[in-house]
Amino acid sequence: MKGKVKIAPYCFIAPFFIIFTYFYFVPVFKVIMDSFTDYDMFTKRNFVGLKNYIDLVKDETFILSIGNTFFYTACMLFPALVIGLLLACLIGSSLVKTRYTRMAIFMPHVFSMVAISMIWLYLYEPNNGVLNQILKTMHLRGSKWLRDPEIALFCLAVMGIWKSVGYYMVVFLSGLKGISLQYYEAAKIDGAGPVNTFFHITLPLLKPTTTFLLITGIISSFNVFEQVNIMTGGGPLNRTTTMVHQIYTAGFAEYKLGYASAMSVILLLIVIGISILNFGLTNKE
Amino acid sequence: MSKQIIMKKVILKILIIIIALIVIFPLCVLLSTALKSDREIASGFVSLTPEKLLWENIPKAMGMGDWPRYFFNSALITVITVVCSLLINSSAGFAFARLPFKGKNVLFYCAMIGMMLPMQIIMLPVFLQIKEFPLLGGNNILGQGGIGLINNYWGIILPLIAHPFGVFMSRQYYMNFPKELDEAAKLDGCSALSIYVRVYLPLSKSLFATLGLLKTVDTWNQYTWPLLVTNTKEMQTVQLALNAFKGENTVQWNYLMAATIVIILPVLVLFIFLQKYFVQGIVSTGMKD
Amino acid sequence: MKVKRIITMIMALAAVGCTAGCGETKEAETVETKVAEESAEVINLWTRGTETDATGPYLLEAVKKYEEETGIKVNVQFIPHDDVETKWNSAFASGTAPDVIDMGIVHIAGRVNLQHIVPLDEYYESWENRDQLIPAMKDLGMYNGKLYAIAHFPDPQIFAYRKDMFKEAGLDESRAPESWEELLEYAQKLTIKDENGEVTRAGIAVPMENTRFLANILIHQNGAVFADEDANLPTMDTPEAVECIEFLDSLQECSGMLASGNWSESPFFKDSAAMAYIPNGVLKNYLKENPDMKENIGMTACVPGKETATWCGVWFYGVTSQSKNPEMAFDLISYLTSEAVLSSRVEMAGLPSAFRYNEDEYVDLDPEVNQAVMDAIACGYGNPKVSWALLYEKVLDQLTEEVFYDVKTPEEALKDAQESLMSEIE
Repeated sequence: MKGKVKIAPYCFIAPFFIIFTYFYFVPVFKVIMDSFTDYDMFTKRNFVGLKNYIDLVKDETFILSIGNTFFYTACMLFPALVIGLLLACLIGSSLVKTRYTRMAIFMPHVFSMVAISMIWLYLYEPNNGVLNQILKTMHLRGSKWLRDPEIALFCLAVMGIWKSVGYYMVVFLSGLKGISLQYYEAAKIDGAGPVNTFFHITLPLLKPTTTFLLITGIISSFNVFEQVNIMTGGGPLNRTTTMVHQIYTAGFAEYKLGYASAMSVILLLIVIGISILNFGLTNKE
Repeated sequence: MSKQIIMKKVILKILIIIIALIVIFPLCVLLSTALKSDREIASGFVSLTPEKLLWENIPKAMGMGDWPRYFFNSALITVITVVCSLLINSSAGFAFARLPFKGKNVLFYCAMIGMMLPMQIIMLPVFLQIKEFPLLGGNNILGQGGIGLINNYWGIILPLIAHPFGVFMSRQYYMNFPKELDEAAKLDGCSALSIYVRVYLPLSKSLFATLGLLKTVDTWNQYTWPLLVTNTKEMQTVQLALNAFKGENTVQWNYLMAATIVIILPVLVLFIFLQKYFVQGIVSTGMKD
Repeated sequence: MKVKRIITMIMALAAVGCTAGCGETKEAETVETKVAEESAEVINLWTRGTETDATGPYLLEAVKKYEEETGIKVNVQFIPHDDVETKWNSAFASGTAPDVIDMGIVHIAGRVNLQHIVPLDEYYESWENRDQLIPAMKDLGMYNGKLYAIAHFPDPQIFAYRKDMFKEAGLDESRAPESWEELLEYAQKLTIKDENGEVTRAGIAVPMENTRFLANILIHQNGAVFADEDANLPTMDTPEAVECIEFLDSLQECSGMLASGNWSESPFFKDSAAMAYIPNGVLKNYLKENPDMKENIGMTACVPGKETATWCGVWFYGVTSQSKNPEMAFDLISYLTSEAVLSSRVEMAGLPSAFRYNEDEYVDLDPEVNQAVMDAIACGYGNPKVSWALLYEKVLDQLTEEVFYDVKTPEEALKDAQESLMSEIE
């Protein structure tokens, strides 16, 4: 009986770990090893020590791409979380029936990034796009949107907010449902207004939900790639290039797989660092 | 008093509808573009209302290429991926949540690291793993000699199955179950496996709805991976088939958008059906430690 | 209860799916073993684009005929232009590349250096159509003195202008501008700006993305190059290059930010640009759909600078080093470039060919436009055949962007581009 208990747990995790090892750990391990080589995907694979990492420090575009990635994360994630939460509170208050509106707001989440990018390219078209025409009818000056280096990344972030806000809303909604009504009744008896209730009851009790969304959100916005590749190709002036986009172009367009691997390792370290920081902060309290 | 509540209701309703309209707006652009004529598209003037609603664009777009086949491929890949991933990930999540074993934490955090790197980065090594998959597609046990799982459904499916996010969610979900549940079952002499199958699986509906929906969306929308793995037209998925409307210099926007709408319908319908359980699932994975 | 039913349904579906999947695997296996046994019977051909492109339908038809005539099975796979590198690289790296690939000038040197394509001289020597291949086209497929790729489709850009807009601006609409000075003068006269100084109609459409094409046109017109093919080195910091980029910058001021890189959506087709270099196929498509515009659009190969030059991309077929039967692969190429197939292409798609036997037929098809296309082919240049051609494209796009957004002067931008290329190449 005892022996059985010991083996059983490993049997449960084995299918996951076997597949995961074969398709994830082995490739990641290869990537880490390759980051110390001049691997070009085909002909050579020589050990070059830390050369790739030293080159990275000097690579202005890569450093810019790190900055862009952080900027995108900040511009996309926080507004999306705030809007998602507010929407959840609005819709969650059981005053009105919201089955269909809820669905409408969630809808962008199920579209593929490729399709979404196509639609927004159409909206952002600098020449005669939908947004510019709306501005024109309001007698405002049009913008170059994605072709304007100052706001291009911001435009991508707005699209990201649009796509993810419905998902955040739904997750927050379920977080709200998990809060026992007793808290609210108690607050009502104490005479707390809606704003007070929100800040003193809703927000603290939603913390686990928020942490969860924050971590997964950071990870996914650090991995932003497809929309960049389709909509801007990293331009104008490299203002929208992100880490994954840099890794992809270095690896697949320039055959510098060793170098791209070094970038990947940096990305991995940053994401792990942020996650540990996040876990640490939440576990402390 | 009741008047005030009615006012509140009306304002709330209007506010929510306005927000929903803003969110829906780009999708209206999608629909209106899908229903325009070639000529209108070519004229370059982007108007929201087509001159004439050409609903026949949708069947027309579906007539270009073997779409039933593409749908079959996508559906097959999605269903197998989702079912396998639910079973594998939830059983791992169950073990992490409920069973004591050595190295549990280390293994769990190892799995979590897996959430952090995107596919694009390990794409080439994973592709080589697919090609060198032992014993299949003409390969020997060392993975040499054949083409492995390239141009095979399993080549697309296998790398997508193991999903740390699913393990994480399942673990959260099962951790919220009362301890007494296992103990009662254990007293009855049930093994871990039968506890999982008889007690936990039947209680996992909403978890499966949540994870299943997210995984379905994810798998259905895969683009780069199927592009690399498939080498024949018969193996194409719906997302790849969209390329037919994107020529070197010309994009057939109307058909592209029409096909996009058709492609998204199955996922949308699934969401409408599972919506209730989806929300429930997230509620009970708790996010409350 | 409902959920249970749904779950059982999904399970059942999955079970069916699994068996189907397994069946599929077995099928794939048997197909594979078949391939291994009778590898002589299957050729894989990867071509760029999609089946609905102009290059698609004729190819499928030709391949079908080839299969009927020879009994050899040909698998044609279309690869979207944006994904070509990714797809090729993973295929070559894993040893699953096809027998024949279709590629551009930009790919030749790089793929030769990676040993992905094999020399074809041996087959060329005994090839019946060899004298028909236009010599300039043959040379484009050569690298390091060997023939690696057979040209089949030259795809030049031609210069087009709007006669009605010329007339309106008081310019002679019977001819295109004939020198750089005149081009700039015309462009300035044709540009219309609003009260904010924003260009509402461009004198000349200068693409803001993929500007490298225009930069390439201008550098050749200025009698220079950005890259020395023989030395395999960049030559971006020459006075000619500076002059060329300065000229490009002044043209761009007559274009505002209007023009996009997506050719079929060029402002030239939307009445918001008066002149443009346009890929011939796109222009022809436009004329086909708007026949009434034909009298309104003037065409010529280019507006010469010191020399006449325009952009001419060329499509090639090459045989990969992973082909198990290169001889048969070349036989397919030979068939696909035969007179019968290429004539059918001229007929079906109106595409020019790299072979002499189609020339007259092609010009006769649509004398006005196609003569300009033939002239453009005669003075056309593509990407340099250097091993870092993909990098060359990227750097060229970036430096024009820096100049357009006034981040750097042409001189600085070119100097930086030269330096970064030099450091990448070693």
